[in-house]
Amino acid sequence: MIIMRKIIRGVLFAGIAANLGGLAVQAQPKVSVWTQHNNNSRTGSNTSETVLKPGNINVRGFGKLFSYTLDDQTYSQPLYIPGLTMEVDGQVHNVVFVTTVNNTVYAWDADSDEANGGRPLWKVNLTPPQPARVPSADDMSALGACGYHYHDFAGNMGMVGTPVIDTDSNTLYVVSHIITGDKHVQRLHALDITNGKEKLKAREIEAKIKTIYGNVEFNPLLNNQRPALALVKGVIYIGWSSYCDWGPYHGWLMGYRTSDLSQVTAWSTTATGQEGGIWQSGQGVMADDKGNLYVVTGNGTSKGENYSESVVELTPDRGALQVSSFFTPNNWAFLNQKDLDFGSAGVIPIPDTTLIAGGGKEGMFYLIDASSRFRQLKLLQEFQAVWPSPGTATMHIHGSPVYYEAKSETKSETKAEAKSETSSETKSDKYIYLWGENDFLRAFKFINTDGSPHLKSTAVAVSSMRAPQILAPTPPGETPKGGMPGGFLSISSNGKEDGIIWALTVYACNANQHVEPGILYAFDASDFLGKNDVTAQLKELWNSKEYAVRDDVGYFAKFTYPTVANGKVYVAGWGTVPPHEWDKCAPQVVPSDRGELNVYGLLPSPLSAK
Amino acid sequence: MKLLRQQRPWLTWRRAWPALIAATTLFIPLLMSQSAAVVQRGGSSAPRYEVSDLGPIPMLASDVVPGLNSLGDTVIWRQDESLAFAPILISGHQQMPLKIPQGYQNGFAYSLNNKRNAVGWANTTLNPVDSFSVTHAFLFAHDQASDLGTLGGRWSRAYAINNRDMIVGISELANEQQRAFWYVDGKMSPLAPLPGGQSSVAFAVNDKGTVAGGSEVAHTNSAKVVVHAVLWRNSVPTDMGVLQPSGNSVAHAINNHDEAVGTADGLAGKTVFLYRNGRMLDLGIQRGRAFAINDKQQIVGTQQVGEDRHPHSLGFLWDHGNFYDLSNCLPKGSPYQIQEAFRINDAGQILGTGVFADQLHALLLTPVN
Repeated sequence: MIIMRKIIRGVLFAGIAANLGGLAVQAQPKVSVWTQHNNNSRTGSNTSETVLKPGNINVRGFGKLFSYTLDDQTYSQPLYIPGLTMEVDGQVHNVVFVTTVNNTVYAWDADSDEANGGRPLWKVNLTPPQPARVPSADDMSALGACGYHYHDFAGNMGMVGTPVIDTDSNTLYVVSHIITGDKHVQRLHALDITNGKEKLKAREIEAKIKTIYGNVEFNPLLNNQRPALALVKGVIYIGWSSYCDWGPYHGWLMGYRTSDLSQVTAWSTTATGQEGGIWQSGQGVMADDKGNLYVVTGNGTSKGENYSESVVELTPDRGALQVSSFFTPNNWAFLNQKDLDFGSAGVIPIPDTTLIAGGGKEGMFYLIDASSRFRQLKLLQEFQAVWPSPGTATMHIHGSPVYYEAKSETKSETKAEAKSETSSETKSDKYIYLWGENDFLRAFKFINTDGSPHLKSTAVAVSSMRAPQILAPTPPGETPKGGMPGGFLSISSNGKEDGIIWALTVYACNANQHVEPGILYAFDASDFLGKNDVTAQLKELWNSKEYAVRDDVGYFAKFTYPTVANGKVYVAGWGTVPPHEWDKCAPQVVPSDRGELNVYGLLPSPLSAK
Repeated sequence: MKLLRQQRPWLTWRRAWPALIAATTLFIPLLMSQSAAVVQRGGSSAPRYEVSDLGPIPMLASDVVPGLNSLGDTVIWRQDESLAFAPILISGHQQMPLKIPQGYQNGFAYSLNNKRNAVGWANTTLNPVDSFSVTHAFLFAHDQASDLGTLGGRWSRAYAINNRDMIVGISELANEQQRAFWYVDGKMSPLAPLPGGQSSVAFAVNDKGTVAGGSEVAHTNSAKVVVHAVLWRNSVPTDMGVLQPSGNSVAHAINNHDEAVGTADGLAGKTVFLYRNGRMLDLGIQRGRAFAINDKQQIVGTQQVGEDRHPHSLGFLWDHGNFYDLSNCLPKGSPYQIQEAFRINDAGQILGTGVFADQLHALLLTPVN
């Protein structure tokens, strides 16, 4: 054993020495985040993180390393590809990609803001020359959206959905939105990720479906490309919802071949009805290994061949998308009436099962068996998962759930549970984490030990703070009003150990139709405080307000998720919050055209700084 | 009527809760007009009440309401350290926990008669809104909780008990439809929906045995569920009608004169109705919801008010054409803001909730002569 240790030390020392001498080839990082929430299952989990551990995430050792300035707000999750040889300097870089609502795509060095002189490795703006321009919320208001007061976007609203990267061909696919005169145009682009150049001629998004009632057409003015793009078996799938339910509109899901951007399929959620937007607060379409797609839809018609307020399983069949099965809550009419979109977040699968899980604006969480092949997916369980603070707070689920399987450190909580657990299943605990608005972050335990899979509907652990933490002042006698939209989660772990939940939330007040301060949290995913209590507490490791001078994440970038890769955390922000406004609601007027990509990681030690 | 839109009533109250919340935060109608009949909001002629604070009450749902009998006894609920909900009977200064049946974790009592028998429901998971749990209607009486069973389905819920111990509520059938029930002499029986409807719910029963609630009706548009307020006399349903064609209505309470109150779709959105002598009248209380009516035709409920950015609710008393914001009927300088009024007895006592020090409290208002 001693000999072995010496050998290891020697190897390490040699490696360090070689590195110092500039001779060594850097070890290739393994993790890439090529699609929103890490994979087509949308688990939000990076289970190969070996650097960031609960033990080193604290204000002394972890914080913001640097940030990049963007030309506008971003609604997309940063994507990350390691080991790319970039055209700008011929050097190998780990690269992080991010888009803005100004139709700009950036490629930044993921490790150092000094690479390429601090400039992006490439930057491309996909708005054609004038008279083309980026559409804005003001344009929508002028046309009548939201009663002439459209504020879902603060300013520009070009690129919205997170792009997707084909790592086989090094191609990034993204949809731009422009306006020329009074004509709106949306285009699918294919960019070379080493230089930003368009590999193929951009494809204008068009679709028309014949129905017994006439043609149904895609409308680039009314259709909001909100969900992340998905790459499944050589096809880019793109979803659309609306702007503020301004219609008449239909939800759409279209497929384009990666090789030539030709349209493979165009499916409308409500071909003979109305609405049924696919938005999922930015979450991408989920896909299984067979290529089946799962989308969740919002308000609209839900009868016959119309699938609003539903989870819909779509199977590609000779090009076309066929609805193979679906689930519609029985109270869909009520959800519709109250604008409680079932599809305000996406669904995720529970690994090693045939189950999918998710919830919407009602704050209910659904566990659905996707193996049923009787047209309708079978509902196994539904429960109230979001419990907002007293008052008239909303309880929407916008941030999609994330899943983590942790090496078990806890014993069964009840005798019955212990009795039902098999020896193999006591080795790990399976959790789904969810942060609904005005509520705590909650960890729900998945139990599948007695042939009756379900989630324990009382959270096994919750955070000590709600989102938002700070509420808007209310007149005397009135209960405090809450704020949207809750937390946006990602998970990092080293297999079943060192699990960390990374949560980006609004910090103060209501980020619905307003720019408000944000906060980034890190929680231990499985080592809870007070394990013997009915509900334990999630251990907060760090947050960006703890040492805000260095770490503040800025204004909250709505509907964006943290990206964790190879020891760093990439988080979007909408610009710097002035220090005197760190701990309060934003003023009525806030700059609406700022964007930042914040890079967090382990801080250089004093020793290495010397 | 929104309660009847669901097919699984073990979720009914939680369906109503988010609806109320959504209505107060997101989609407030622009108009707050009231009918000419609704004229007063306090003032010198307003009734006056003294307040008995029954303690903090955790918010649940707009249709999980505490109970009040003619003697001034109340049933409310509390949440203990384990987060479980338990019913409490309060009589004067005495607070008596009602026994939760073995194997059940949460219990709620909705209604209380003059014998101090209460009804409600209990469920088996700590989360009171979980389809994985078993939820049954219960009678809480004589320090016992009696399981009322179901109509063949998985769940049931009791909403009201009269002074003859007749109980009404809702249950799932074996075919998973939901059906109003009445429970007499140890037997639960279904109350038929209106012709063409599949589901029904019973919210109230008076001492004559007349039951009030709602029922689906036949409708031509399969995408829309239409519910009408209904009275059952000797289990025969009578359609109370609606205020607007194709609109919905549902009755929440009934007095001993067979006068019922509830909520219906009016010209400018939801409004409160009074049903008497075979006619449904719009009381002009926009965005209102009536919870109770006593034999003196006094009605209490809640109304959503305020602008979109600062909506809030108030508890109201409607007394023969006069509308009173109950917060204006409290002693001068009272720290309470009445948010909801759930029950009123013939002595004029009102049971509701109000905000005190940013916390919701159950409050018993007693008229001051």
